[in-house]
Amino acid sequence: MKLTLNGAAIDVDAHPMKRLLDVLREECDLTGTKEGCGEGECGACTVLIDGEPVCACLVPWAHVEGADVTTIEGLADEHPLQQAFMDEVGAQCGICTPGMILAAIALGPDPSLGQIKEGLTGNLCRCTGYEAIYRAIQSVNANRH
Amino acid sequence: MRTATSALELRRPRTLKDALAMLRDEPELVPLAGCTDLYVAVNFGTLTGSRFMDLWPLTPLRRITASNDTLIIGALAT
Repeated sequence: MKLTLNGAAIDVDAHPMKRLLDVLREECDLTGTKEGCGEGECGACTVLIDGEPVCACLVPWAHVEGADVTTIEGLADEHPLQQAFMDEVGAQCGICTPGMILAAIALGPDPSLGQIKEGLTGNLCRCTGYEAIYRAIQSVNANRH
Repeated sequence: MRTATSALELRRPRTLKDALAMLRDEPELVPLAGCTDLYVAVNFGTLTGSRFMDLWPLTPLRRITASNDTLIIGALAT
């Protein structure tokens, strides 16, 4: 099945009902996308599908045919949000961090604190208490990826 | 996950006409759209049925149209 993954055209054969999360990790060897709850509550597996943040644990592989999918690897360690999360210590155990960063990118440039809090309601963090994450996002103008 | 997704069958009609014909011929097919509930049920081991029909590619179901005093909201509109 053909789609665009992290900017590259790919053709990957996987069962159509396999979760996007599993295909990314197993067929595509992209293990930056993490499984948290596996039922769309925690947001750890958030990826961008055509620019929208989506839980990859709830998407069948068949549904991304022809889509543009971005995972944390697609940022190539170069997005200012990634540096900001390190500078502000917005990551502790790290499981939620890839999803947090992708959800933050989807907020668009220069979101207000209210927009950040609302935009990240689907992304749970059990370590940081969120304040460091909010500081990290506020410290950069997150451009849409 | 408690249920292997490889055991699930997904039929993919490309037109509404094909979808209706599939349901007529195979009434046990369960129509799927966003799949949230499906994967939660897979996780909990409570999924019933294993044969599904994917509505996702059927773009006519994604529209919202207004005509005179009638508002038509497609089943895939979000």
